[in-house]
Amino acid sequence: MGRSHTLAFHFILTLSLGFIFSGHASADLRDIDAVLQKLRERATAVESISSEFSQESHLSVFEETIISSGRFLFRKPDKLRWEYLSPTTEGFALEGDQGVRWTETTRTSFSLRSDPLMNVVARQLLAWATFDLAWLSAEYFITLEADSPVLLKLVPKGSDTALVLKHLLIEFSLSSTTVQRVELHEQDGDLTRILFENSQVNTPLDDGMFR
Amino acid sequence: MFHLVGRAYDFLAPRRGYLLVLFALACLACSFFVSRLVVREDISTMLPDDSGRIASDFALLRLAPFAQRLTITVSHNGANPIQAAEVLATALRRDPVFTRVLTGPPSNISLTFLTKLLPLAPALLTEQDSKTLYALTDPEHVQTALEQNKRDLLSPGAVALKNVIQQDPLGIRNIVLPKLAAPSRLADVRIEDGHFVSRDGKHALILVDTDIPMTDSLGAAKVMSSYQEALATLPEGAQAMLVGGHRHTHANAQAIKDDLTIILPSAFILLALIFLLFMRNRQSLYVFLVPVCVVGVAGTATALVYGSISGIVLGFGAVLLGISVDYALHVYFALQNSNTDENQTPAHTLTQISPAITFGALTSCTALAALLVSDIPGIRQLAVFSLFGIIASFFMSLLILPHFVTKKTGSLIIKTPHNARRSCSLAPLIALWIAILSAGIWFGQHTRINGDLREMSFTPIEVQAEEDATRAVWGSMRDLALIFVRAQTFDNALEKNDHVWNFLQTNNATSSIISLAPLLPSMQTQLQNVARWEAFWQANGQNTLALMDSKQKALGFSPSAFSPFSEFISTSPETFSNESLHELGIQEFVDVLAMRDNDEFLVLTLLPDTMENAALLSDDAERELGARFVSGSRFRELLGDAMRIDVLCFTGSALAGVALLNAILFRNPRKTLLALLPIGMGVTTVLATMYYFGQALNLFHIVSLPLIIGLGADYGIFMVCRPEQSAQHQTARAVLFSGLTTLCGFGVLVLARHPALHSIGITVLTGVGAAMITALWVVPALNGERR
Repeated sequence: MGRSHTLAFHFILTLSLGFIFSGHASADLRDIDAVLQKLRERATAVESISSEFSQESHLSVFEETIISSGRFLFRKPDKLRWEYLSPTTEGFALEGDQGVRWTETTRTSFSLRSDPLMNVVARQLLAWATFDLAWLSAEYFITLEADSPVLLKLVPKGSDTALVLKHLLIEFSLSSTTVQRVELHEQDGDLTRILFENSQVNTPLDDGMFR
Repeated sequence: MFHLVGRAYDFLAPRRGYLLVLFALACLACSFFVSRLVVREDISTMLPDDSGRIASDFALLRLAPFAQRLTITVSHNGANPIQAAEVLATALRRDPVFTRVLTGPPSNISLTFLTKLLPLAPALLTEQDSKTLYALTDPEHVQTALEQNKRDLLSPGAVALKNVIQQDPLGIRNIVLPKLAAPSRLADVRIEDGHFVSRDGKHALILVDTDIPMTDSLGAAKVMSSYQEALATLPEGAQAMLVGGHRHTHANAQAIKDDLTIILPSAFILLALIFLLFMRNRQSLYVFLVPVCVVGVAGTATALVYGSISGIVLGFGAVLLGISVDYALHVYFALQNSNTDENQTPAHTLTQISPAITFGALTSCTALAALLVSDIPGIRQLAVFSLFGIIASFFMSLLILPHFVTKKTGSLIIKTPHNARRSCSLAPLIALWIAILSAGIWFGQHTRINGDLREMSFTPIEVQAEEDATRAVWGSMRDLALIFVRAQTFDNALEKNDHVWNFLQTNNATSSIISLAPLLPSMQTQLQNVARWEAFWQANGQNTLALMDSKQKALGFSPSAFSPFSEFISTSPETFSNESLHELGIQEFVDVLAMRDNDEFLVLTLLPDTMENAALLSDDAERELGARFVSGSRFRELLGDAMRIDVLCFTGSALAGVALLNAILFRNPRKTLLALLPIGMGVTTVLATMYYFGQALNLFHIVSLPLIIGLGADYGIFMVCRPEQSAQHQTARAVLFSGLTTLCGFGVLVLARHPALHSIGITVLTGVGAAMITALWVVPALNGERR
């Protein structure tokens, strides 16, 4: 059950990876190993991330493409907030072992100790935030699709994940220091695209945002 | 007939050298055979095998999920216990002693778990579940479910959930998921990060398997040593508690070893004192060789009869053979007398004492033969062992020992009592006997019998404390009652298991029940469930789909969004097998509750071991269900009852046989009653002592009783025969010496911490002590002898 949700958080964590490292991935780095190594080295300098996003869901289950928007916050070592603000309000926040999730009408607390799904989130997040290259390479085949702007393609190695997820694309902006686009391509052709804007690194984030 | 003994002495005396060589060769052969004996250390030999269900209950109790496993509870003050548990588990896995180390459930549950789980729903749909289906298709719920689905599909988890939502937009999976919990409630655990963790998150659980039987004391020592080595790898501040049979075995072996370091020197010092005070000559040492040789002969003969010998029988047999030194002592002291009396030849003396020794041996054999009626195979083996021992001792004492002790004499320092005969009337003797017998019966009825095997073993305080702590953390996972069903095919076993589950449901006893029935019903039940599923969707399918269609459009879903669901409820569902659960990665749950026993399949249900459940699973209910209810508490009760019957049977038979033999020997009611007096006093004193100190008779007290009966019978016969013998004054010495050596050899066991050794010690000390005092002072007085 827990692993069934791992994929979702790979997605989130991939985003954080993008934010953390996009500013440091320059176009003149042509070798993927060098790019990844550079990203890993720079990761230690990142304390927090704050960004707005808009999400396009091109899913066959819906008649039309659905656009939603929200914000994403991360602060070292173990704080995370992912929330949708439109068309509905819902999301979750994590701080250490404790977390809270909400919708427009409900708000419930949870503990990582008793919620295997959210426990996976926290563990995965830490792995990505610290840019554990060994773990990353174990989970994905990573290729450098383009270097101007930098575009990484992540193909899942695990057969279970590969059963539903074809690949991830992460695109970095040439001029800015943040990730510009993340695309989630599924095996059945469905696509989720998330565009980030107003991204800020190492800005103070209030503790209350993660409770 | 008894003069044959004297003639045998005369015949063998000139051939003493050959006799010695032959005897030495026989002893060597026995020693060689004994050294190669197959000694079994299985406690089941000490459980009744003919009392209906005890032995089979015991065998079934051993199949309980935690019966053979070691459970380790890891805690780490202020830190995550999972990490410490994983460190310890890694160290344990490196040691080949441990064949399997489990820190959590199997981790091969796949991403497609929910989509694989859903097709099981039709075959698992019980009558109760169909009510839930009605609730799931309620218009209000349909609206809520579709709104939730939309939110989920737009969340980061959409990729994983999309297929599940398309196939099951109404949440039918929530009917199946709780069924997974039924077999997983083995302990009060939750799963965290793939590990078994306590509810409060402060403890992690490790389950360990080993191929070493828990009754193997050497193997248990190896297990504990390996565990201690692994413990060294625990991070600082982390602690671990081990619970398991191997720990008990090791603790018991260690306790016995510790006890022996006190007992053996004590016994040796006391025996040396007796030797120095009463014998002080080289020939007397041969007397001690008799029981040593006898143990070898008896062990060899028993092994030839049974093919192997129980370690428990060997140990207790050696205790029982304390009787065997009696005859040797009697012969020794009688021959001492003949050496000092020129009118008495050894052959004459042997002829004189052989009736008493023969009847002593016969009564001992009768007392021990009574053990053959026991339902406990170990006690029957003990009887055979002891019978061989007594017979061997009898012949060695009368035919071989005399040739070693007839040359030189020792200095005997006991004053010779001079007796004058004074007849005692029968009435006071009968009154005394009635009083003793009444006391024996009264104490016998009021003395409790404890059938709890656990209380017969030594449990150190720290082991008990850790067991209590483990129980507090994980619940009583090792103390659950079990319901077994058995059949030739796995499906038939599942069918019976379904009946058990339905029976428990009907009687409102399903809380805290761990059963496979909700997750893996029999084919017959599955077909019924499938029919129920089809009937429901035939009646409600179209309406539900129409309702969904209207609502999903409003929420922006495409018309084909839930086509998989439409197909799912309209397709004829299939039943599933054990292999389907294997594919789901939850085979471990099945393996715990289903097993093979030779050609049959066993499925078990676990439930709290309460009086209510025991009453519910009565004999009639068991017959009706074709099931067996087995619980630790019921087992202990049955064992206690069986032991009570055993005690009554064999003490009754032994006393009756001994009384009959005494009557044949003496052909005089007064002498017969007198000869029985030491037995009566011995047994009654044991029972009275137990009653006075509020102790219950256990298995070890019971197997020690034949020693009291055998020795008591010997003492009685020797002392009553004494006036007819020329060496009469030596008889009291023989009885005193026999009693003292028995008390020193086995009575010192009362100092032991181990309950088994202590039980033997208290029985011997009180019983033999009382029998000896009665024989030395009461019997002569009542027999008209005067000092």
